[in-house]
Amino acid sequence: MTGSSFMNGVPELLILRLLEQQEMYGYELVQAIRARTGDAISLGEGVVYPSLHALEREGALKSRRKLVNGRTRVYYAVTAKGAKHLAGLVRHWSHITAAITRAIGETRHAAATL
Amino acid sequence: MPQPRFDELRERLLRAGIAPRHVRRYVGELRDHFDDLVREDLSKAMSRDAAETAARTRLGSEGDLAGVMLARPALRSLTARYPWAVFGVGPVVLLIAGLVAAVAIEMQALHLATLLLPNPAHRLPPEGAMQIVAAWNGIATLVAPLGIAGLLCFMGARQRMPARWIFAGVVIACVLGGFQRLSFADNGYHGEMMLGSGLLPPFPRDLLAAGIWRALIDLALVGGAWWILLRRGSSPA
Repeated sequence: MTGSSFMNGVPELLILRLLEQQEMYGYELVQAIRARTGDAISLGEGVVYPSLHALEREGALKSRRKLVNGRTRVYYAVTAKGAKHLAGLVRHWSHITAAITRAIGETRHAAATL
Repeated sequence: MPQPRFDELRERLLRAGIAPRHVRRYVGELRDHFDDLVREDLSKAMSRDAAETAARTRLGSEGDLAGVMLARPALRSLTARYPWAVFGVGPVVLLIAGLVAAVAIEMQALHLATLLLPNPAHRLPPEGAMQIVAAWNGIATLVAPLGIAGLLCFMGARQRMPARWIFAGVVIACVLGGFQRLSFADNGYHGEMMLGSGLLPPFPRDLLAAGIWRALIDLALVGGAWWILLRRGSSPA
């Protein structure tokens, strides 16, 4: 699944969920998204950074520079405001996925009845 | 294949008004990400050329990378969003604030001096002290407008602002600043601080004439510095 209007909010949801567990830099985060979603969601890897910058500007993330193996990395972590935002996104997406699952189930049931 | 520098991407984002700090960080992060992708593929025994080509593909095209950044108006700088405030109102506020601060500091310093060094014989203040006060007044009225004009040039160039905005800001700073005068005199009995502007009634002739010259000199100095920087091809961003 790639970018479409239906995917609005998905990158933010994934980013916040993963960064809630541990702070990461961009490359680590993209690898984590690929691993967690089994490559079902493939973002152009560079496009994650504008989302990170925007979330940081909103106060949902905080960043710090850290020297790792001689290279300076920008690590991102979720703030308290970000955790609240994530809870809202999770509720929203749970509601949508439940509705779609229900709709798919009803369609299958109707097809089986016919 | 060399590591991408993302120069075109940087220019495109700056010209579109994305804040320079976001652009600088974005480009830095993309370069690091590219390096990580290349290393990942090299560790899988891929050739460097193939690894770099794959890394470019995985990172996304420059069009995509610019598009996602431009789709976030919150990342635009204040300079790009409100150029009239930065280049129009900004120099006026900075000039006034600078003058008020300079006068306040000078008054406190002179007050402290009278407390620490009482002058019951009403002698004239030492020449050195008067020169220090005159230098301070010079910084507030002669140097500050140039500093503000330089700051506006730096901000405008850094954000790749249209030249008309930078020019407007520089003219406002040089003209308003050129017509100000701050002076201090002390006859041993009392000191007198004078703050005047040739642009305010009753439009003193001496201030008007001096102001025109100072504004022209300031504009020439800023224009000359700008021209030299352009010739050297340096960019503040």
